[in-house]
Order: sequence, then C-alpha cells, then structure tokens
Amino acid sequence: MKAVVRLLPLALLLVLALGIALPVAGQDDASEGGLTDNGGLLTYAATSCDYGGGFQSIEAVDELTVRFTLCTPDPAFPAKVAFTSFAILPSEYIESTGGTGDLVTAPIGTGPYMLENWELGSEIVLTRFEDYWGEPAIEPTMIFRWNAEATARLTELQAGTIDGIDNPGAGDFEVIASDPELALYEREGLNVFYLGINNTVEPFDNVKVRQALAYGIDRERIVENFYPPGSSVADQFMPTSIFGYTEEVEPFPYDPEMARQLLEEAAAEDGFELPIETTLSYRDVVRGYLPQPGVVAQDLQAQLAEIGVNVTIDLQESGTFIDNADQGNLSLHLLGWGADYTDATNFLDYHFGATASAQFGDKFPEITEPLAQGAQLADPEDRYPFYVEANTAVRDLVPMIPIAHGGSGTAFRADIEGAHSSPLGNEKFSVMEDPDDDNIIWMQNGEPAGLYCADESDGEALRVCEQITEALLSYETAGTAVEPGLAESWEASDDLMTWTFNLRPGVSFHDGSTLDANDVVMSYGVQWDAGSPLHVGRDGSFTYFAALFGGFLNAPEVTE
Amino acid sequence: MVNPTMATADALANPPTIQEERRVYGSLWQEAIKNLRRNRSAVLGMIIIAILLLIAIFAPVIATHDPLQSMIGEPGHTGRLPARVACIHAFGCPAEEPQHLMGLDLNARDLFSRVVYGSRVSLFVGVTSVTFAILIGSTLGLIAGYAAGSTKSDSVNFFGNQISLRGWRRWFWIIVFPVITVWDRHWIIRLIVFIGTLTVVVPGIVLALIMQFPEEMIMRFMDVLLAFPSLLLAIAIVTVLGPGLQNALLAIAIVAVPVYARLARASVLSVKESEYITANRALGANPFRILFIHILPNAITPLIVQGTLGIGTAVLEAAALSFLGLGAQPPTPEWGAILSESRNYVFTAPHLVFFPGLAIMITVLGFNLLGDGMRDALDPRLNRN
Repeated sequence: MKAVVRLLPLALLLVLALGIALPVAGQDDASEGGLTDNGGLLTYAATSCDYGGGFQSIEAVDELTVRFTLCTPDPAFPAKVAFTSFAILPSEYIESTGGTGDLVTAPIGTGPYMLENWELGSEIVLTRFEDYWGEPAIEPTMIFRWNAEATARLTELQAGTIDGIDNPGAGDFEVIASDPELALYEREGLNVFYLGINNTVEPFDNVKVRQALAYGIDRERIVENFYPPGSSVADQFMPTSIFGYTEEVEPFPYDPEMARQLLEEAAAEDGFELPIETTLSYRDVVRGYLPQPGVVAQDLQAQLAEIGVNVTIDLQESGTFIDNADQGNLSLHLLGWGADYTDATNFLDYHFGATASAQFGDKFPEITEPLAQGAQLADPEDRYPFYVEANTAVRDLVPMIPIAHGGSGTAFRADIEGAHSSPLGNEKFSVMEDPDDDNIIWMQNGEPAGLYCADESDGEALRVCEQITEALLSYETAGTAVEPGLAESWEASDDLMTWTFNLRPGVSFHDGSTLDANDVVMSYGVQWDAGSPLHVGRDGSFTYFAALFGGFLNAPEVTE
Repeated sequence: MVNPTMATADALANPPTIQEERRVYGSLWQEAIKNLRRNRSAVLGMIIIAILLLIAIFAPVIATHDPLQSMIGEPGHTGRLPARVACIHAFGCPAEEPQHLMGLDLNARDLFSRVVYGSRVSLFVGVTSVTFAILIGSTLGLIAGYAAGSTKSDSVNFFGNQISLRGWRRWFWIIVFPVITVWDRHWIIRLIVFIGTLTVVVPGIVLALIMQFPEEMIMRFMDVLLAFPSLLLAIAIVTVLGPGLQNALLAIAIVAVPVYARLARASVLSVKESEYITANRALGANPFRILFIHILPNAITPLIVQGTLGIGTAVLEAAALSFLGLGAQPPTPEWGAILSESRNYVFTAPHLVFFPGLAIMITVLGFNLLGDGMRDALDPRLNRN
C-alpha cells in the first residue's frame, strides 16, 4: 500500500507529461488537408498543392454534382476518370468495411452484374443486377474461371464447357480461325514490349553500352517469328495509334557491327572486359505484349551473345519480378505495358516521368522535362513538339529498348452474339448472348488477387471489376473512346484545372442505396488521402491513383 | 556360391593371400556376369544403355546442327520457322528444304541435335548423382550398421574412447563456456567466448552425440530425410541453393542418400555377426579394415542393384527439376527443359514433347531393365541351377 502511495505522484506526473507531449508531437506532423462535412455534402481538400500530388480538392457541390480541382492542367482527365480503379462505391460500404476486408472480397457497385459468389481458387459467379440504370445484362449469370495454360483454355473452349477465353496461344490463332465452331477476335496491340535496362548497374551506366544493345537486337526477327498475326515491330515506346506517337523519331536500325563497335569503345572507356556477363530477368506470364515469354527470352539471349553480351536467363515469380523491377534490382528485364487509357501520359509519364519507379535506374532531365510540360497542355498541336523531344531523348538515352506491339485476342464459341475483344482488355460481358444456355462462362489467365480495384493493377482483377463496378465515365464497348458513365455530362474550365461532373439521377447500388455526390468524394478521397483510416485496401499501394494523379495526401514522410 | 562360414574358418587357420582373395571374388563376379547374360531383359537394358552412352560420347558427330543455333536467317530456311515438324528427305520432304530429323523447336533450333546433346546432360546427372549418393550413403550406412548394438562397455566402440571428452570434463566445458559468456562483462571477451561456444561447444555436443550413438544419430537423420517426398525435398534444396544443373545434381544426390544408407546398414547387420568377422576382430584388426576389406565386398550387391535402378530415377528427377525450371538453365539442351518449354504446344506441335519424352522414357527403361536383371543375377538366393 505504501508503495502505491509513493508511486502515485510519479504516475500522475507521467500521465501529465504524456498528455502534454502527445499533442505537441501531433502538431509537428501538420495535416496536408482532409475531409470536411458541409451540411451533408462532403469535401476532400488539400490545404495547398505543395504536397506534390495532382488533386487540389474534390467537392460535392450538390447531391448530383461533383467538382474536381486540380493542381496542374490535365487534358487526359476524362480518360483517367473512366479507368476501372476509380469506380464509385457506396460511401457507407467503404466506411463499414474499414476500407478492406469485405470491400476486397465482396465489392458492391452499380454495374450490370453483381457478385454472387467467389469460390476462392476456382471461380467467380456474377448475377444480373435487375435495377441496373442502363441496358440490363442479357444473360442472368456470368462466370469467371481461370487457367494459366493457353492450351488448357483452348481445350475447354473446344470442348464447349466454356464460352470464351482470353489470350489464345500464339500458335493457336490459326487453329481457332479455321475452326467453324469458334470465333477469333483479334485485339489491337495497344501495348509495348520492351527490354528494360537499369542505368545504375555497370556497365549499363555507359550510354554507349545501352545504345549497343539497341543496335544489336533484331526486333523484326522476334515479331515475325514469335508474335501472333496483328503484331508490329515497336519503333518507339508509344503504340502508333495513341497520341504521343511521333513518326519523325526513327529508331536505331539493326546493326550488329555497330553494336560490337560501340561495346568495344565503351569497354575501352570504362575498362570492363568483353564479353559482358549479365542477367536477363523475366516472368513466365503470358500477356498481350509478350505471348511467348520463355521463347523470346531465349532468342534475345542468342541475339545478345552475337554482339558480345552473355546473359543468364533468370525466371522469377510474377509478383517478385514486378517488385524487383520497380525497386531497380534487375539489370536487364523483359516487361511490357498495356494501355489503361489512350494518352501519352499513360505510357511515357508512367515509365520515364519524374515520379516513375526505379525500374530503369536514374531519371534523365532530357526526358522528364518535356514530359512534364506536355502533360499540362490541352491542345494536341501544342503538346506534340514536347513528345517529339521526349521520344527522341528516350531513343538516344535508351532507358529501355522497345521491341514489339503485341497483337493478342479473345476467342469465343461461334454462336455467342455480341462477342468482342477490347483493346483495353476490358471486355463487356453484359452485351453478350449465349443462345444455348443462360450464362456466359469466360476463362482468363489468372484469378484476381482482390476485387477492390482501386488497389489492384492486374488486368485479371480489373476485368472482373469492370462487370461489377462503374466509374464516372466509361470506355466504349470494344473501343477506347470515353463515354458518359455514372456521370451524364461533364465540363472543364478553360485552364483544364476544374472539372465538373453531373451524376445520373436514380442510379442504385447493388445493396439498394442510391448514388450521390458523397459516394464519389469518398471513393476518390480514401484513395487520395493516405492519412485516412480507410486508406487500407488489399495491400495499400493504390498503384493507379499514384501513377495517374501524382502523390497521396498526408503521405508518410519518406526519409532518403 | 562360396559359403562364407567355411571361407572364414579357412581364413582363420590359413589367412588368404591377396591373390587368393582376388581369385575368390573374381569367380563370384564371373558367375554374376554369366547369370546377367542369361537374363534377356538385362541384356536389352545393357544394349539400350550402351547405345545411349555412345550417343552421349559422340554427340558432336551424331548431331546434325549446333544445338544452340537458331535456324532463323540461316541459308535455306524461310518463312515463320518456330515449331516446324520433321523434314526428312528419305520420307518425301522436298529436297530443297533443309533436313531436320525431328523438326525445329520453338526457337527454331534443330530438335534432333538438342535431344542428342540432351543425353549428355541426363546421363551425366544420373550417373554422377547416384555415385555421389552411394559414396555418402553407403559410408554412413556402413558406420551405422557396424556401430549398431555396441554400448559404452563394448570393446568395439567404433571411434574408441579417447577422442571425445568423457565424464565430468565434458559437462564441465559445456557448462563453463556459457557461464563465462554471461559472467565476463567486456564485450570483446564475451564475443570471443560466444563465438567459441557456437563453434566449439555446440558442434562438440553434436559430435559427441554422433560418436556416442552413431547408429541412432545417422539413421534417425536418414529417417528425417526419407520422411519428405523425394521430389519435394529436391525442390526445397534447389530453392535454397539456387536453380542450376549443379545444384539440381546435388539435390538429387542428397535425396537419394538415405536409400543407400539403409541398404548398406542392413547388409552390414546381416554380415557383421558372421564368424569370419568375429575372427578378424579377435585378431585385433582395425575396424576400418574390417569394414572396407571384409564387410563391404560382402554387402555391396544390393547397393549395385539399387544404384542401377537409382540412375533411372535420378534421370527422371533431373528432368522433373528442369521441367520446373530449377535444373538446367536455358539454352542448355536438357530433355525436361525441352518438354517444359513446349508443354503449351502439345496440340499444335506435338513433336516437341514427343521426342524428348521418348528419350526420357527409353533411358529410364534401360536402367530399370538392367537393374532388375542385376538383382536376379547377383542374388545368391535365386538359384537357377
């Protein structure tokens, strides 16, 4: 008892000290902005644009109007807003799930299909949403299955147990085309496959070595022999049909003699030995841009050996590979990029911009500066010269070597009506009709990791989300043009900094609640505000928000 | 068959000269080979293996192309090349088209040459890993078998008493080392003592345990290894060591060790109580001499049989590891790796999986036939007369 009495003042002092110290510590870490409630209308706002991101504020002007204020002009804003990751979810559901958990496994949206059951590891079953605001889905049930093997997918399609498949194997295109039971839908190559080079790894820090690799790779040989019909050689990083492609920037020709000469010069300058011994990393994942990963890796290995670069092929697990690439741990790597929306910013800024990952090592101001300028202008004619400059710098400094724009495709049973393939990879199953039964069964490459697509970047997840959730705007079916979605109309201020969206009235979510402006503010806000308790997601990376709209609000300090 | 008991009695009275020993074993081997030649499936197995060996040795002569050379852009080759089927002039392929006996693989390399060179890799891995496994496994098994049943008081305690610290001296150091670690305050001394504890005391205890109970320690460790499915254990080992042919070889060998250890131990157990061994021991022979000169030759038969069968298994496991991308690395031509590269093209280009698959099958069949035949030929209990 005496001891307690003696310790009491001490304990009190301690509590006092903590009470003083804690708020002070909190004040140190000044908030960069946050959520305010204005008589039932929510506003997410940053105190200033100094935090480094692209958003100034998101404001519910009235029940059906949302206004976005940006920090820099963004001509591609509608195309970005239409992307799957920025789908609108009910604000109450985001709050009640705490931003994770059910939100990831049982999403609620406004789409033509709603989630019925996700049998982990085997299939995802969707049912028609009867109160859909638009044209309701034709078939009452839609089922997603997956198999990583192209052959297995085709076998099931041929057997008739499924209705459609993604990415038939490169060798199977002719088989499908000649089968009267099946129909092939080729997908335009809105993508690029490249050999990434990390310029912080010796000897690739010497631009001559990187240029030598560019001269030493016969891209035509790869596309002609290992890519399906509809593919083309990549002259530059941008696909030809997307704004940002500049035809006046000619690629380095295939010239192994030149490559060997450049390598010898570089070896003499930097004092390294030829042949160069290095590692070429890749993942064995079939994508539209890379239909035969192992085969292409081996052909590149043989080609590089010809000019005096001996590579060891290093096969990595997909997730590990992407992490290693983003952290700049790989010297040479094979990767690609498929368009999310059709603008140069989706390709060039994401990879070579000032905020891009360490994939290619250090950034070059020759590339980042024109990109930053081009991204702020509205008129394509004004923007164009900056992209010529950027593409020229990308060619000359060789952060990577573009190799191919891969054509891919989908295949369906011939009797499926409305079957199509989308250049963005977001096929819309609600418009398809199966005359044989009451469902559409689709088999893709893999199972989604989660269905809260704000925090997913894998196309396998995005395609499922596309059916369940919707964004303010949408892309046309089987195309890339932006159409009204949950917003009936939208307008931009002249400086492209303020965007106002007018929501469609009477749209209901799968849980019965009605869409209003607060849902939009919350759906964006929890992604934007890293300080929000709801900024959780599946792993919390929110890759697309960071990539398309710059940094997060209240992001934890990075000490470097 | 010579009765070992009689041989021992003979040896006791009149120790055999080296020449006499050779004559006895020679005649045993001659008998075994005679039995082997009478066994048809064994002969077939031997022929298959002989042909495979010849193919492996003379691969550069037999192969029609460089196994790593892509045919894209080579004279005579046009169009989209990968995964072309066989073109054999004798079977009606147009003469102006270059001949490829098994066609081209996905990288437009000559598949025949790759399969031929693949035999080198597979046979090398099979034979080397089994040799390694037999050397390690049988040594462990011999020691365990010979030490089995011996106690402290037994005069044939294998390693003798003088090597390890015994009684209070051992326990003194085991306790004193850690005590010093805690007791002394200066960090350098603590570090030295700590490292000393790690490098001396802990291995000392393990070593003492092995010396005290060699049979238990060795065989229980073998049991642990056997408890894992062999391919899974091999995958785990390669995952730790890193993918590559050498590491795959090592993994396959390690996985096979317990099989040989058990066999060797069982054979030793059945032989070591024989009178001629007791006689040798009574004469004061060195335990190593007893083990390797007297016991091993009489216990080696099952090892040879199992080894032959084991080569087949090892070839299969090497192919499996390569199939999973853990064995031979591209562009090395290895049968399992070729299968793995072309597994998605079973329907569009079946020749890509057919030929390497056939090669694996024939090789394993050859070793299995020979192994079975050897078991029959070398087993004295199966008297054919």
